[in-house]
Amino acid sequence: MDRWYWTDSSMMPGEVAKYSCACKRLYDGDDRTSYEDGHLSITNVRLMWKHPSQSKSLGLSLALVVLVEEETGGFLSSAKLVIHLSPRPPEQPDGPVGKSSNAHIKLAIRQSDLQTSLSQLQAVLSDRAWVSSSFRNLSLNHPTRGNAPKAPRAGILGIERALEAKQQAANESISSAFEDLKQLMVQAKDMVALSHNIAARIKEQGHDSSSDETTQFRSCLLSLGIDDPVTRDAVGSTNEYHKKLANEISSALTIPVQEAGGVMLLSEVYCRINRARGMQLLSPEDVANACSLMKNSKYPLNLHAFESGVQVLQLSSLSTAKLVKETRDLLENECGGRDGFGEGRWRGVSAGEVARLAGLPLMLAKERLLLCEREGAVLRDESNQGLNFYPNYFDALEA
Amino acid sequence: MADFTWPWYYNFPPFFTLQTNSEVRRSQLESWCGLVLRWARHCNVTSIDVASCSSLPVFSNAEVGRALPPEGISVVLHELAKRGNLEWTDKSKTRGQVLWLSTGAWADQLYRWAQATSKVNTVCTLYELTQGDESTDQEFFGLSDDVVLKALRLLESQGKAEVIETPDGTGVKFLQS
Repeated sequence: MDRWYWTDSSMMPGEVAKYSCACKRLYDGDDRTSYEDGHLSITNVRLMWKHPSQSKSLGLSLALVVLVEEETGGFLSSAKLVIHLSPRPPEQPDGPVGKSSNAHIKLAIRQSDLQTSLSQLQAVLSDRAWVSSSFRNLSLNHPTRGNAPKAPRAGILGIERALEAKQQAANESISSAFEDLKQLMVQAKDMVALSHNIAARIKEQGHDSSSDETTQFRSCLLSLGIDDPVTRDAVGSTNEYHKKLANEISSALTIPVQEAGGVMLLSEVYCRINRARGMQLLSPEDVANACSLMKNSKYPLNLHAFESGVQVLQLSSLSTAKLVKETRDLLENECGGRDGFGEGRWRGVSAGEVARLAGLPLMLAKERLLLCEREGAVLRDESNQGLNFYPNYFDALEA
Repeated sequence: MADFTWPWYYNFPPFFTLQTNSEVRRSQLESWCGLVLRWARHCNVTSIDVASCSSLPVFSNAEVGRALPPEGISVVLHELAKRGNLEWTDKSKTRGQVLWLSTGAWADQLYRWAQATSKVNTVCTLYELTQGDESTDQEFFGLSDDVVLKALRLLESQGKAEVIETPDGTGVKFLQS
């Protein structure tokens, strides 16, 4: 009974009345109280009980409700709602009873109202409307106390001010974030210079320290990348920018492309060049545009587009004939020579196997096989086991 | 009859996939045509039904688990028809007659045989030509009647023979050209 508190009979903002019915009497635990012949209202955040002759109401926050039960009436007793409650919160306003040992209350109502009131009560309990932020402060507040924090001035001016404040806060957090980044970039330059120093010193020392660790450290330092990347700001026109980028890409990636077997997918080019640049990242579009300039023999790397649309950078010294021959040799090794692996049997090779054997990405391996097919060096074999390839022995066919 | 000896490429899996490279495909088709004709001649297959082609041993090799797909078969058959080694017997091109030699080549062989066996200016029956004792060593021995008849009609149009229809059967009189 000590969870009830005095309140005026008006609704709080956002509060919605869900149900109301006559309530004959309030019980503190199983004991009758003198609060009788009143009116019960169920809202989405509390229970209210009001005697018709009084202006004030009793309120009970639904946040405290643990369980609701019904108690059907008998010949001498009325039907009741039994409400089990959690302990009284300290900030609760004053109520009619200061302290009670009972953890439940009962509301005597008419038998005909019992089912509806019970289901309504359970509905608002499962909605948990008081959890939403608008009620967090209000649910226990006694409106007559008037100690709620004043809302900022309403109206268009108020909204504008709120927006302005928000924007300012966002700006501050963004600029502080970029402050960090700028500092990092400034220090990165120093770091690159330092690493070059160390790399040079290691080179000077000669080859006597050939332990794995030193080698690895050295290769890490040497692959630190481009110390003076081309930026759009430094170069005026977009055209010039792309030209310089093309120069940068071809000089930075020639060795990696060589190591990769002479061909590199454009996606990998994009990753590698950005890895080498470190901070001044390039957009995929800029990389593609720069690479599209690399078509004449001026550059050590050339852009090549396969029929399927896959684009690669390849060494301009790379010849198709050589590629075809290499692939064909690989197939002859795997599939068996002209006589097959004994008894005239051959074994097909899939693009996946070629990728594994030649250390290529799958897409490139497939493109290479298709290229060889167009050149008439390999044959396809489509079956329920997928697409396999064989060296072209059809030159020995007879009519 | 001895078993047909399959060529090496019958065991070469890519032979059963139509190649995309046009030059490679041309030589592949040529081989296919040759193989089908040699096989048909060996097994004395004279008519082919497109629908049941895929079950013919020539088009599928169970040992390497490969079979020429239906599109491939149809390409091969059309190539054969283009070369005159296959004649469609119906308009919808579902059945055809395999001529492992063209009609002209058969006609040549028949006439040469007639000359060699002094049959010129005499009348022979079709039975004598394809089943008779004197032609057992000839390629047209056991050839189906309609193929022989087609060749004779060709000879007739060249003035080298005269086909005689009698109630008992068809005969031919080879003429001095």
